[in-house]
Amino acid sequence: MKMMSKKYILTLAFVVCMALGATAQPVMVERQGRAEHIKSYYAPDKGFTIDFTMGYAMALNGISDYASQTPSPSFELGLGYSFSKKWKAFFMYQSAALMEDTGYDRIIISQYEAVSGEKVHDVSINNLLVGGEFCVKDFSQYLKPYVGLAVGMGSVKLSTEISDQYEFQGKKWMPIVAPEVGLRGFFDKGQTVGYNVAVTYSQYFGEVETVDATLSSPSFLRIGAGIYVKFM
Amino acid sequence: MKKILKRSTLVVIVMAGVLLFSSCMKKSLIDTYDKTYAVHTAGNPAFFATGAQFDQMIAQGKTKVYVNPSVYVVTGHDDAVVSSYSKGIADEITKAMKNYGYTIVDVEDDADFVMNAVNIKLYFSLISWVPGSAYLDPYLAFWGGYYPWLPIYTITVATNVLRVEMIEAESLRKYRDWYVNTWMPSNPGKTPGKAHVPAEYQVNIPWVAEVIGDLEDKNVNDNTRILVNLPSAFVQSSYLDVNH
Repeated sequence: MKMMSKKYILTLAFVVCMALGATAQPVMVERQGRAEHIKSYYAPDKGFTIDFTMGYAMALNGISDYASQTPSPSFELGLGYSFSKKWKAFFMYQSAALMEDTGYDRIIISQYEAVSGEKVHDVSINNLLVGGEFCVKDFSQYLKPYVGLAVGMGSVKLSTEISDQYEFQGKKWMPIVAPEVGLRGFFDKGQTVGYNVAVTYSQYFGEVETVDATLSSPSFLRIGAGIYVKFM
Repeated sequence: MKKILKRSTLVVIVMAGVLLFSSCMKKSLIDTYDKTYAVHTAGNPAFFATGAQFDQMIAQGKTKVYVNPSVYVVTGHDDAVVSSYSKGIADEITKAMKNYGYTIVDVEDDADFVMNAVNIKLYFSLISWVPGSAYLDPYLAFWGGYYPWLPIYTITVATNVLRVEMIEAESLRKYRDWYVNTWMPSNPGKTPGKAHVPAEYQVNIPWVAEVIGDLEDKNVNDNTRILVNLPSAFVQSSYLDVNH
């Protein structure tokens, strides 16, 4: 876990350093009265975007009863298009995992079958989302708060493992709604590479069960931070 | 624009690398040998159902149990030997069966049920593992060998299993008669497989328990772990109780 966190931090640090060293494209501007060469910067409103964030998911309704610890990081990868300074649409893949060692326990499989041992609960989440985003106010190059809303399908897989010897799984694809608030900002004046910090609430509609639990309409809260690239 | 594209491409490649790597890094929370021990029990529903054979035997007072004092250790590499922990295991089984109301007998022929246990210690070595995949099944894929063209990781897997069976003694006696009087004369030196045994002579095993965990290189700990977990097999099988 510690090793994994270091790898992510190093990778993000590498990307941020690279972005800080970025240089924007100078353009020529003619002024009335006398010709002079000055530098200005072109930051296009439209363009494709790539989002990548790492973070952690916090279990809420249903999931919190099954696995409340978060030793595994969550990540999010999105491809979008900015229509203007304010509006953006995107397609996103989101993954999260929650695990919990619930201690020694006994699972009754049927009237005449049971298994006992060290029980570990594992929730694996994989979401495919489409959505839109609205920039609330463009304070500066570095500060652009936004709100977003995404819908799609999410896979919730529950896994109950006993002492690494037995595993019971339940998995279901469910509709999902995911509102989000966040901040964006760019490191370079050309506004091509920046950061993204967001809090997302994900609400599923459906039920998934495994041998020792049934989750109805589960939800979770995700906090993530990462990089944001705008191109073309 | 070219610079931006180059930079974006690099970022995407880095992201993809992180994703691929992180998918291989999921770590189990189980981190000690003790925690790898589980107890699985399964009773035959047809035998224990209300009014079925178990109830009929109890009603007839057939509650005498013989506990085999010899627990053999099977490794697959050497000849089976009697475990030094046989007494501890047999005593635990005896205590549990007494608590469930059975009468313990010293002669197998007097028993209505026979309790038999075997300790299987399996070592699989030189197993290749591809990052991101599950462990390849050593039984089906390459029991006894490995694929040299997948030498990403070479690991050793060791499993310790105590299997306890409750056998309906009359069926065991019938099987032995068939084995001695029918099978052996026509198949000297051969062991019958299950398919060779006629249905009416097959052994009736109404209950099975397995204590299973990872094997450490200290036998004393492995055997202790089995003994510590064995009582759970009976606790979670209350349908064995003759007074249920």
